[in-house]
Amino acid sequence: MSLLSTKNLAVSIAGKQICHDLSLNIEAGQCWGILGKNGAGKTTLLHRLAGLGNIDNGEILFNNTPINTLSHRKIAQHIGVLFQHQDDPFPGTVLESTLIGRHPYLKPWQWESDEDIQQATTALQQVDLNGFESRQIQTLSGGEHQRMNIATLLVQDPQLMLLDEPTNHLDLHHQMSILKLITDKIKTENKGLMMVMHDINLAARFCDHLLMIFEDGETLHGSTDEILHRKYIEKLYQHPVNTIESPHGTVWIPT
Amino acid sequence: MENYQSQIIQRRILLLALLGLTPLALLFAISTGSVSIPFSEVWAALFSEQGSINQTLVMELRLPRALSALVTGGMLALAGVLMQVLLRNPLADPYILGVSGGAATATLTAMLLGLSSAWITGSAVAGALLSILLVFGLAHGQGSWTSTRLLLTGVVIATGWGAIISFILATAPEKNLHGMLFWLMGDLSHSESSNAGLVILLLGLFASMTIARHLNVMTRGELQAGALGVNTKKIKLQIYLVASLLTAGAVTIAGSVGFIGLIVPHMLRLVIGNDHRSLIPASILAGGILLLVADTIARTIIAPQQLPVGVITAMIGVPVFLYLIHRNRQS
Repeated sequence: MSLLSTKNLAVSIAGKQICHDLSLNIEAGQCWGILGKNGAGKTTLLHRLAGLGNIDNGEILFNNTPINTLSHRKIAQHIGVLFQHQDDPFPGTVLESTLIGRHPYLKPWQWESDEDIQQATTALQQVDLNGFESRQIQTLSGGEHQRMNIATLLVQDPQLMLLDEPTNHLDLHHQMSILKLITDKIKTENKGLMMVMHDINLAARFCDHLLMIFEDGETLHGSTDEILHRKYIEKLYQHPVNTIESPHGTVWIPT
Repeated sequence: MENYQSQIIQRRILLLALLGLTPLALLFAISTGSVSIPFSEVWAALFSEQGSINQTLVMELRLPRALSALVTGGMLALAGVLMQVLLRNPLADPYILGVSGGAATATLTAMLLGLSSAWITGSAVAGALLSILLVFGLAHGQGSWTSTRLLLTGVVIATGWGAIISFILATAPEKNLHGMLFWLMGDLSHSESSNAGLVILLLGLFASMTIARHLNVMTRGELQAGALGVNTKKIKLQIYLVASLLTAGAVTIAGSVGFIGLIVPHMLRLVIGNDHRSLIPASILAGGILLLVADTIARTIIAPQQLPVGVITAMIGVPVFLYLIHRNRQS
């Protein structure tokens, strides 16, 4: 089943072309990674796929419906986004902040139910923030904050998750546990995932499909096995790479 | 989860406390003044006695003024809450985008021309609305509605009004200056009916409670709010209009009373947190009570002379605010 597809999509930002003829199809159960240099437009493309901002040309379809014909609320019930950075000028507790993931499902005067609160508590446990419920968000470390945002996304429970550098600020253990948590969820619940990654090795491990964004709007996508080749990686980052075989698969290292 | 539940109960208790405090503050304000009226007689004057001096004093002077203070304080506090969310800045106040400047310019001009009080009220409304439209038009211009752009436009327009106000003050004849300065500092002594204000306040309350959860999401950033299903463009416009109209209402009744719109929402954010479903009603009540108490002090502390209430709100507000910031840093 196709969750999100693009047809001849053209996106640009500040006059810079990110993609000019992108047609891809994210199926339920698939985990996609987006790779590219700094400033290639990964984040912008991710936002456009979530229906945020305007595209130049082409179409974005969610469940075969053009995304720009869906209401903001409807989109939020199906597509969730993890943003790259966020500042919080206002105080608030971790549990309250996580609960806003229920926002798309509640009516204007409706309050969160006990199940909603239970869901938020469970999500916090899943991201290893047990006992953080009443902590002020302004006292969290970068990694804790990132995991809280991931918990918010779990509470939103969308069919398609769009993550912008989910491993940002995370330590080695949490990089692995969080990516495993999310990709397992995608597989078992038949959801879809697309995430911007900078670590080729993590991408190789957790993504079954990749999208590479080159300079000047050129893109390449396909299954990880097809695409994760030296010539593409070197072209992508304009840096020579080498591989080492390990018990956990091929490891890419810059030379 | 128990923690969250007890937090919600705490908030409800605080709201009930504020609700209970409101009639007490009203009673205090009505009984205090050049002639002090005992509580028991206030009751009689309000509900039974006809034609006594006390009744005239209560019904025609103190009660209307007290209600004006309550309504104005409530409007300012709510406008402050909304402006802070709109500008994503917990230190924003209702006047920051120039609404009061526009009203002040028009009002002072009316005073300079020696117009009657009805005209002065009308000018305040017109000036505030003009400023709202001007800032909106200029900030909205090319369709981009960023908080920074709105803030810059508003601050520049406010500065422009400030310059005109200074010009008027510098050239106005001395006999007008006293009234003008009082108006600028915020003064409730000329306030007559607060009915229109009350209607605006109730409409504002309803409009903002309807979007209260949207406001919670907006505080986490516009992108995040957009991804959680908030039509941010529409909500921002709504917040701007409601906050501006509330400010216009408050300024028309009492001039530019400072500090209420900044300090009350900020204080309550520190005390009861950031959930706007509790913050909004609590701010309205606390703002009303604070302005009422401040006004009662302003008209009695150096009686028979009256002070502009803005002086008192600042005198109460500054130390309380500093204390809260200090306390918060320690915890």
